[in-house]
Amino acid sequence: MLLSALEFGSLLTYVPQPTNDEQRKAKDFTVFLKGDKVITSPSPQSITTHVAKFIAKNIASLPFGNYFGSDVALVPVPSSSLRNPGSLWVPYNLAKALEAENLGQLIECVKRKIAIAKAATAKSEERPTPKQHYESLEIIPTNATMKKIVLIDDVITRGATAIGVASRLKEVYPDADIKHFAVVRTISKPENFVKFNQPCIGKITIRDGQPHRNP
Amino acid sequence: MDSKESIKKPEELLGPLNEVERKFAPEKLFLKGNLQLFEEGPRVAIVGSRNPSEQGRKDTIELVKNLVHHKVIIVSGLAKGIDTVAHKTAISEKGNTIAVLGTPLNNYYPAENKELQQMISKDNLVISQFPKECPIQKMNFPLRNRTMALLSHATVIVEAGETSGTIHQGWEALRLGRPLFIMNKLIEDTKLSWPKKMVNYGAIPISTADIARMLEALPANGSSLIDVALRA
Repeated sequence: MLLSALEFGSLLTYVPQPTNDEQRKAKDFTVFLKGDKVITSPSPQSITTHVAKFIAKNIASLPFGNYFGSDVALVPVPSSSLRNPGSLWVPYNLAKALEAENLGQLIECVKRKIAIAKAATAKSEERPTPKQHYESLEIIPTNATMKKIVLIDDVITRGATAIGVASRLKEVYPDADIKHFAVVRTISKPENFVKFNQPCIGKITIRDGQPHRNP
Repeated sequence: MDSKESIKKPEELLGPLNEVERKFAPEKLFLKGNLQLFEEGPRVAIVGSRNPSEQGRKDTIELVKNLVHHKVIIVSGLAKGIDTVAHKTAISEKGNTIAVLGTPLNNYYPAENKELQQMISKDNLVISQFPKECPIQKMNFPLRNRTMALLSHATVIVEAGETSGTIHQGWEALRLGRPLFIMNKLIEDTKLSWPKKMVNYGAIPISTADIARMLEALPANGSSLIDVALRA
């Protein structure tokens, strides 16, 4: 059964069609993140490592800081498509980098069994619903403690994937506290973009089968 | 403009590579032309059949015109067919183009594209991963396609049969996590199995009218040296 709501945290914002330099910088960061590029400043490291180190360093002041800790299962969110072994999987790299900073334990326990349309590049009417996400996912059994679960993703758009994954996990771990973390949240309209670095916690709710993310 | 030959590591053009990028990256790249193109705009590879249909040619021209209009640099493999149409359209539209060869820089394959290759090396950029003494072998071309996927921010397959070398590039783009766009008509073609399979693994169906969706997947500029460090 689908959850009706899910709390999420995110660090940054970006707009897919930028109109000024700050927005262009945010978009380039997001494209680099989706490719887990290696950056040279402040030191050579992957973007996912850079993000994990940034969170670890600033955890006390981040609104979602309490999501992380040694007793937390960090569950990378599967992509909308199937994945060949050895292909880039940014949420996995991010969860691994967060684990390296002692912010939780990486648990790979959700996989996509049927590919569905990519939300980020689909026309709005073709974007998969939370129900379609839910039906296309399966849980991989694990012996790990799953009391506190944080879903780890690179970008959150509407939150349909997050609801689908969280709903699947809640069936298997009904007592678990499940939250979602994405590095970047998408702002559709350039006029609604305030700034790049804008940590927040928010909520995804389901109305008429569609997800609504706030903020 | 620099039309001299030079040798660079991929990292010198693209910035440091991650583990997935390093796996099939060539050790060296041999370049002739304007290296500044790597700082000047997003790069999209337009690839496809050596024997395209008339519609395939028209689609290539329309796509390239639209992308060049948005300052996108057109990357292709200088082969007959779609590649040649892509390069020539980029030039005629006063855009920029990069040819990634399956031969060393001092060879011309196909021979009919000698003049085009020379023109691109003079005003744009020609790249090969094969040193001058390297013989021309069939296996070079899929290796070239992998390299082209690495050098491009995204790949578009306009038209390709079941055994086309272009398919190697599609799978490599997906492995690298780069956007791979496939024309809708290929996915709808019941004689082809690879487009549907690639869509299941993350390829994005498009038509020539979907330029905005393509641009959304590209960086705002082509530089690999932007400042992305986070600050509290």
